[in-house]
Order: sequence, then structure tokens, then C-alpha cells
Amino acid sequence: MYRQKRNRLQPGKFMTAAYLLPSLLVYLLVFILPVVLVIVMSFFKFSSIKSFAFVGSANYRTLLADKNVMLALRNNIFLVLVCLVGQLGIAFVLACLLNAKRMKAGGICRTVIYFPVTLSAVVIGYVWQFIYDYNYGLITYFMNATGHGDAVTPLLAQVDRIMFYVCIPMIWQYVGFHLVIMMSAMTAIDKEVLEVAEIDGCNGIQKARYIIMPLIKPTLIVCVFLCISANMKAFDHIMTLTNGGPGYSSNVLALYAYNISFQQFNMGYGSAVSVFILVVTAILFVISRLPEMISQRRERKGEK
Amino acid sequence: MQRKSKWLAVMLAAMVIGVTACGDSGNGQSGGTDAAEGAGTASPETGMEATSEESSTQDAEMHEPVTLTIVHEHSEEAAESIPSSAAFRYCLDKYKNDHPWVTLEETIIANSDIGDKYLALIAADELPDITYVKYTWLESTAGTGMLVDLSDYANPDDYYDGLASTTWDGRIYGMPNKFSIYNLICYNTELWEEAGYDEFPSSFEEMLSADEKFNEMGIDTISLGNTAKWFAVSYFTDALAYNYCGEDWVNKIIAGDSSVAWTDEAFVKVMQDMENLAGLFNADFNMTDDISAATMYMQGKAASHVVGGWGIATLQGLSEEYPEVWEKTRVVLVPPAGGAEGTLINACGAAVGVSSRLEEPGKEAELQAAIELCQYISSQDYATYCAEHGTTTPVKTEYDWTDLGQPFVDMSDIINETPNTGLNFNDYINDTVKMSIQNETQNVLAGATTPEAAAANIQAVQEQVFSQ
Repeated sequence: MYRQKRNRLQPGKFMTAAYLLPSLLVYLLVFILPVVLVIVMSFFKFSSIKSFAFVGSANYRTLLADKNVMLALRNNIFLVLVCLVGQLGIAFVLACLLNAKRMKAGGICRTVIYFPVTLSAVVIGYVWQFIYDYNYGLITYFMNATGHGDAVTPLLAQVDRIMFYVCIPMIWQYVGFHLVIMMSAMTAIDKEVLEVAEIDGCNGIQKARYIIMPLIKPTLIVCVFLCISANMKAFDHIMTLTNGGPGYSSNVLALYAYNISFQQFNMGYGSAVSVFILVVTAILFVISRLPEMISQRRERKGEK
Repeated sequence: MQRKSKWLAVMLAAMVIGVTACGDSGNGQSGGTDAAEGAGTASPETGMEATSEESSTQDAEMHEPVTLTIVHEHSEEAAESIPSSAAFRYCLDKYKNDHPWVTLEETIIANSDIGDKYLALIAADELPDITYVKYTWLESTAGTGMLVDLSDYANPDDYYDGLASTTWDGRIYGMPNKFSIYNLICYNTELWEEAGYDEFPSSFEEMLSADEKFNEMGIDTISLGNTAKWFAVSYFTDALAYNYCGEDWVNKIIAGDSSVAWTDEAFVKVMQDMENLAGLFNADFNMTDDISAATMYMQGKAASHVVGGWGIATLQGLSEEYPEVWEKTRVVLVPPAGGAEGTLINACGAAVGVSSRLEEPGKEAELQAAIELCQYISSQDYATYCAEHGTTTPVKTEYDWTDLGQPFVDMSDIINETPNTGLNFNDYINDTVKMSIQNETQNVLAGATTPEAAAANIQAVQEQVFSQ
């Protein structure tokens, strides 16, 4: 009786493995295996599964010399930086506002702000194409209506500012995603801490900076990771909004990999670009953790 | 109880493995599959020679039932406004009537996506039984044994291009069904008269100088929709290359001959002319599509509209709403530059072929049925239907468009009277180089790069491609 009760609470190693096996298999087949295959394929030149040739590091040498890859990388870094500030910054401000005691209808606001997250990126791209349209777009309409018709320009044709215009729909769509994550972290903060701060004379900005932000730091780190990975693999927004144009000015690495693989029949090189995305994303993760790692090292040195 | 739990866990694991191991062994059909059986939908009337019911029944009894798959872009909706789609559906319906024992499983993909769909199918070696064949895909398809050799079933003399667009290593792998002409300009005679021109300028240089007059009138000289990037190349870059560089140069650059280069002075001159062209277009030309550009022209916001042969039918479709503009529209070739003769840019943009999977033992009936379908789609009946409905065809035929309106008559005159023809870069140049030309052309038009830098970038890509 005692042995049976113990097994029910602490299953044996075989049972544990058996319960974990399905999920592990799915994870291996859906996540790990494709990554390994992409890395392997990046050392080959092939246009279809019928035509393979091992080329060693030739694809990577081409990649490092390819000006279009560097331009796309620059665009991706721009996306990451602007969206970090835009998506996370706006989400944090909104989360603080919606979490405030005096806020009414916070639930409805949260739902409305979250709604764009549920839409397909392709739909977002096409909708914002209409908004930006030079002849019939919403922006053109408002500028004409407010007497600024002379300043109307084809926004998506401006090579020097195109990436900024591309960022706006991406920020608009994903603010709600980060808002929900931050709000759930803020609800875990003890209300008494905030009340004491109010009694001590803290205003909203001071509370947000000195109390809320440090307390939800782990959540903010997760949001940073999610933002970096999402923007490093941005594809559908760009493809539907600008198709990487004019020319290459709004091209990003994922779109470039797609064009290389499926329009130029060069899947080996496309795989190399995909591996490059993975490596750059990992580097950005490490860079984003550097300030914290440095401060932890200083604290440990201080303790010693 | 313990044993029960163990067996439950083992069964669960086996289920997951089984589900994960089951893959899609289909041939790449996506959403939109339309299984077509028997006589299918109502078909266009002209030229149909229906086989009698009795002989069809007898044929059906003599032949074993066969199912064929095909992926194409010619939906019922497309057939209502695009003559080439209507012609394709007409041939399909005629085939179904004459081959009642054949079940056609159609997967219809939008024109804007069908190229990408086929590229994915080629990469996975999952071509449908009847497949599209394009010149730039021949190395990856015919060269790897994915297509059936159709040399015994097609006669090169029946086609305008002598089947050059579907020939690989001396053998024929496709029967063309799409033939397009590109560098045409539809212009509004009333607006050009108002600007002081009795007829459209006969030289490229004169066309450039007309921009000043139309700026004063507050309209664009030429409406262009270049968001897909290839339009400007087909309409202008290509023809200018033939004007300045010559046919021999173009043939060599397509073949990767290192004796010519994109950085040659003549081609840099082409890009310089492209840079000068930008001012003639609507401000959003790089971010708008050709339908929007055609609408702009019909609304009187542009004095002319650059278009391919299919675009005349588009304008005709818009003429119900803007009849007065249609009545004043004439069509000319984009005027040549540098004192050269006019060159009509054309391409057999697509053909139909047969997947080599039908050569496997036991699939003789499918193979025969598939070859016959290709012959129907690329037949004289198809050509006659196209000709009667104002669209060009790769199969040699007579064009008489007098009943369709003056723009169509102008187009047939251009086809018959233009002294030179040229290949469309987008259909004959290596895909990697083609992408570079499209992007650099768009960059030059947007003022984001210089003609010299654009030519150098294209040459760098050319060297990289042909050195591998």
C-alpha cells in the first residue's frame, strides 16, 4: 500500500520518460530537426531536391560579400531598435495607465488595443497599404481635408524613410501583445508597495521608473527577447506592404532569403542567409543581456 | 493499475509517432482545389466543335478512367475579364467534352502567386501532371528529368518563337500557351493635341521633352504601376537595351558571354535614360499596381499609359465607365531611342508540359491523356479563340481585330509592321540576374542610385552567377 502510494506521487524513470516522449518527439521533429537541416543545406548548392552539390563554405563567403545582405541586416537592426522603443515603450506606458487605480474601462481598452494582434500580418500589410495610398489613402484624405494637400507625397516611394513607415504598422499591431504581458506582471506587484510610494509623494512617472520597472524586470527581458526575435524574422508585413522596395530599400533578411531560395532557385544560399538570421538574433540576445550581466558581476565583486 | 498506466503511455507515444510520421504525399495542391468532372462549366461559344454524345460514350467505354492534376491561374472569374484566361478555360472545357473518361483535378492559384507556387513545387519535385513550363525553369525541371520530352508531339513551325522558349538541350519540353507583347503606349489623342502634338512623338527623346507641357496641364505624361518591379524592365529597360546595345549584345548577355558586360557604355546609357524617364510618371509609380495606373489613365489623370498587349483588354474593360477616353485612345510602340528602329519586346511567357512521373510503368493512359491536353491548350483552336478576343497567341494565326476597336487594330498593326522583335528580359534572363535588373531599375527610377552604380551591381551579380 505504501509502495503503491509512493509510485503514484513519484513515477519511475520509465514512466517519466514515457510521458515526456511525445512532446520531446514533436519538439525534435518540428523545431530542432528543421534547424539542423537548414544548417546542413547551407553547405550545399541546390535548386531542388533532385539537384545537390556540396560547396563547403562558398555560400557563407558569398553572404559576407553580398551588399544586399548587409543592407537587409541594417534594415532588420533598424526594425529591432525602433520596435523595441515603439512596441515596448508604448506598451509600458499604456500598461502603467491601465493599471492605475483611477482608470475606468481598463478591460475594454485592453481588448481594443489587443485586437490588432489577432489579425493576420498579411491583412495588416494590405490595410496599411490603403492607408498610405498616395491617391486615395487615409493619410492623403486627412492632409487634404486639413488644407495640407500640397505636402502629400507617396510615402511608400520614399527610399530614405521607407523603413520608418514600415515600422508603424508593426508597432501598431504588437503593442497589445506586450501590453498584456506587462499588465499580467504588474498585477503581481504588491499594492501596498505602490500605496506606500504614493504616501511618500511619488508621482506616476517616479512610481513607473523606480518601482514598477525594477519589479517587472524579468518580464521586460522576455518582452525584449520576443521583440528581437519577431523583428529579425519579419517577412509578411514587408512583403505585402512594399515587397522589399523601392529596389532593396525596405528589404529584410527573411524576405531576401525567400527570394533567393524560391525565385532564384538557390536554396543553399537561402539556407545560409537563414542561418545568418539565427546567428545575428543570438548575438542580439546576448547584447541585450550585457547590461544586466555586467551589473550582476559588479554586485558579486562588491559582495566579495 | 501500474501496468495499465504503462500501456497507456506506450500507446500514447505510438500514436504520436504514427501521426507525426504520416506526411502529405500529395503533389502540392493547396486551398482552392477544384475537382472538375465531365463537361464542366459553361464555356465560351466561338469555335467549339462538340463531339457527338454517342461517340463520346463509345470513347469513354473504350478508355480506362484517368485522373490528371493541373495547377493554373485561369479561374472562372479571371476568364470573365482576361481573354487569355477565357481561351484557356475554353480549351479545358473542349478537352473535357472530348475526353469524358478523364477527370481533371484543377488547383487554381492567383496570377500574382502562381510563379511562387510553381517554384515551391519544383523545389520539392512535386509538379502536377500537367505543369507550367517557363524558359528560366528549364534547367531545374528539364535538366533534372522532371518533364516529359514532347519533341514528337509539337511542331516548331507552328509557333512564332519556333519553340525556343521550351527547348532544352535540343529537346522540346513544353507547348507554349502564352505569348505577350510588352512595350506599348496607349495615349489620349485629345490630351496630346491639347499639349501641341498631332500624334505621339516618334522618338524617345521627343517623348521625354513632352513632360514639360503636361506638367503645366497638371497631369502626368505616362501612368505606370511598377510595384511588382518587372514592369519598368519589360516596358522600357529591355527596349532601350535593344536600341542602344543591339540584338547581338542582348543575346550574348543572356547567354552569359563575358565579351559583353552590363557596365558597357551602351547599357549605362540605357540606365541614364531610365533615370530621365522617372519624371514622366505618376508620383507613386513604384508603389502602385498596373490596374491602378490604367484607371488613372482612364480617369484623365495621365495623358498616356504604358502597357502590355493584355492591358488593351484591361482598358476595354474600364471603357464601360470611361467611354470617352476609350474612344480617344490610340496605341503605339514605345518610341525608340538613339535613332534606332523600333523593337517589339515579346515573350512566350508560359507553356504547358507533362510531369515525368507519368512515364512510370502502368501510367500509359495518363501520359497519353496529359499529352493530348497539352496539345489542346496549345492548339490552333486556342489561337483562333485568342485572335477573335483580342489577345495574342504563341501559335501562328491571323489577327483581325477590326470589330474590337481602334486600339486593338493599332496593336495588330504594331505586331505586323514593327521591323524588329526582342526577347523580354524577365522571361529569358537568369533569375538571379533578372532580380538584380528589376531592383536596380526601380532604384534608378526612385533616384536611390546612379545609372553607373546600378550597372555595376548588375554586372557583379552576372559575374557571380556565371562563374559558378
